[in-house]
Amino acid sequence: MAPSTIGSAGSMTTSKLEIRLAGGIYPLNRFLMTLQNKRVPASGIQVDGDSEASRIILTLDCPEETARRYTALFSSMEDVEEVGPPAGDTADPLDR
Amino acid sequence: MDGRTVENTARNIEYKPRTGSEAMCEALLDEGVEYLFGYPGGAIMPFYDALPDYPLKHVLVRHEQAAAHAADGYARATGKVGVCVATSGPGATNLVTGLATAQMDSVPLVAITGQVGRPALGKDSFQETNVMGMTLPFTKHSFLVEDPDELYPTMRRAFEIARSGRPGPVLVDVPKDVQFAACDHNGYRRLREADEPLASPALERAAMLLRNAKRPLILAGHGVTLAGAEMELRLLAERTGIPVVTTLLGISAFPDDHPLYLGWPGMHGMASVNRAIDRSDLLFAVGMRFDDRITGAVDRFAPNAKIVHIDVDASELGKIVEPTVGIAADAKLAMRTVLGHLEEAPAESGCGEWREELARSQEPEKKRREGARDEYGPIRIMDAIKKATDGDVRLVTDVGQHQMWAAQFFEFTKKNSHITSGGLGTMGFALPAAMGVAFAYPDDAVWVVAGDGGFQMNLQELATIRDFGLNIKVAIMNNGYLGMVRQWQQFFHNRRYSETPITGPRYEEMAAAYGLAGRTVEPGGDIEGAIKWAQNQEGCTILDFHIDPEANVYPMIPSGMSVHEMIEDDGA
Repeated sequence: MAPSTIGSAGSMTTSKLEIRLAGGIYPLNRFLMTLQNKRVPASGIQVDGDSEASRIILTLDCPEETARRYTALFSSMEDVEEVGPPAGDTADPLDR
Repeated sequence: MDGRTVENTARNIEYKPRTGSEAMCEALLDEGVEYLFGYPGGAIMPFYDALPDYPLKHVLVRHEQAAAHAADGYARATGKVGVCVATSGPGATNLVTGLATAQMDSVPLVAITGQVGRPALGKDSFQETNVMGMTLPFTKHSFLVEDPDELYPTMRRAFEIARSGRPGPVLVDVPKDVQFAACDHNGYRRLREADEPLASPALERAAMLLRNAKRPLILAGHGVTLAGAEMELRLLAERTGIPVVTTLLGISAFPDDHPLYLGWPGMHGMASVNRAIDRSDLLFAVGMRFDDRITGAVDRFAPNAKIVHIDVDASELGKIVEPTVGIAADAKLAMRTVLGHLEEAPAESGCGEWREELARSQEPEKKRREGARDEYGPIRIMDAIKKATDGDVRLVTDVGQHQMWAAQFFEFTKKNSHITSGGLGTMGFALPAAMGVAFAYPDDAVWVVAGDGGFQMNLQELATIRDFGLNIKVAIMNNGYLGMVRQWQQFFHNRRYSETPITGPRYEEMAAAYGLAGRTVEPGGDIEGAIKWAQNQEGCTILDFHIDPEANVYPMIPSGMSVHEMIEDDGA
């Protein structure tokens, strides 16, 4: 699933992703470490969750292809249950 | 008898409920584990108490770092998941270098660590460290198991994560009281199935690009070995007539003596191979990740080539080099599919002229190398080991100049016979990793080639090697320097040899102190005789070759530069 593109300047694009993680501090910790470890260009992070699951809205400032690569990276993580455009974003410009 | 104990009245034997430690051992057995490399300590004692009741072979190392490297060597040599064990705190922190080494080279490991009991967690207790948090950046996954019933399924999942997709190390941290606790749950939820490789269009296009290229190269990496795709690589090369180059970790995925093998590129790779990449019009890169030691200046890497990049890890595609076609797939499946698309094609692509051009470009380099084989030094040492073993040997190298000399001059013809730390470049890797290789293949010849710097980082493992009678032969390239750093100081820091001269023991005498045989070979000495002597000794033998302190590795592309800035010899 490609991220939702919300704006662009030159080759740089701002994309939003919603990531659903298994609940608890450890999955969240592992996810945040991956952001740091892979130097993911996240200009915004919103976290919401409970003991069952965490929901993260991530804003990425990078070219579209790079955003796709990060989406693939997150998708392969053990704790990640779902990755896609944020709920309510029905349009997915990258998939058109 | 407490309420949980069940009495077997028929035989009057008490059957205790299963403990966490027993669940851990059962998971290891169910995963087919044969060897564990480890070191006990307070927080892992319940596990060690259960261990003797199971048919699992434990190798007591002398330092936990060596346990991780030994498990790594075992995994690289066999393709199975390696297992290491340590206690909490310093035991766990000592594993860290080994885990990072495995992560960088995509080696499947499971590391089991003891942890302080749950009530003591977060209290700065004796030997408490947050090992799960500490290992997050360089493990594929880290678990802290706080529910005893989750222990067995978590162990099984750890193995599946370690070996699935792109392999890597997984840590399972188990508090001491969880190891003691009774646990009933034996369920095991399999992970989601691995993604199917991308459907044929991308692979069909890759096949078309292969057919149409005039100056193509196949660039094979460690992923070929990890996928067991050596045969597919050979079939693809022979079907198309396309020359093969490998990464450092791809060495021995394709036989060095095959007429289509050119060598390996990169910072210390062959000059002619670097130039071939520079000239190529198609790079078919499979199971590799365009490491900076391969590419140098990325914007000037393979400037004339279309790039087909196949890797099992989708997030590698486009990370460093933008591919023309990127395919997230297992190397074996992908190459089989490409071969299927080539069935209807003419037997060979039209790259005969390209092969002739490459053969001509390699001649001067080959002549230079042949000349150097007669002189006392590293090249002749590699040659002598190769000849003495008829190439039927597993060579484990450490990190530094000798690593490059071995890769350049050994000529590997045995599949998966070159084992080294590539991505992390971990000095001290070779000796313990060779233990893992020797346990996996006790009847095979195993040689370690190490520098005098790296060898001293884990030489305590000679005691482990002696205890188990491992038949590991060691060749130390002793130049009295941290040689690769010294070489960089010579080239880039005006010969200011800051803290690179290094001393060590008299290795021959040290070997004797460990109850092993050893011999010193001075410059001009009988290299071939010493190697034959070592082969005839029983068990581990150490040869201390004193070599030119200022011998350099050539060619060299300075960090961040391109093939056009390559230094080819002392006069370049």
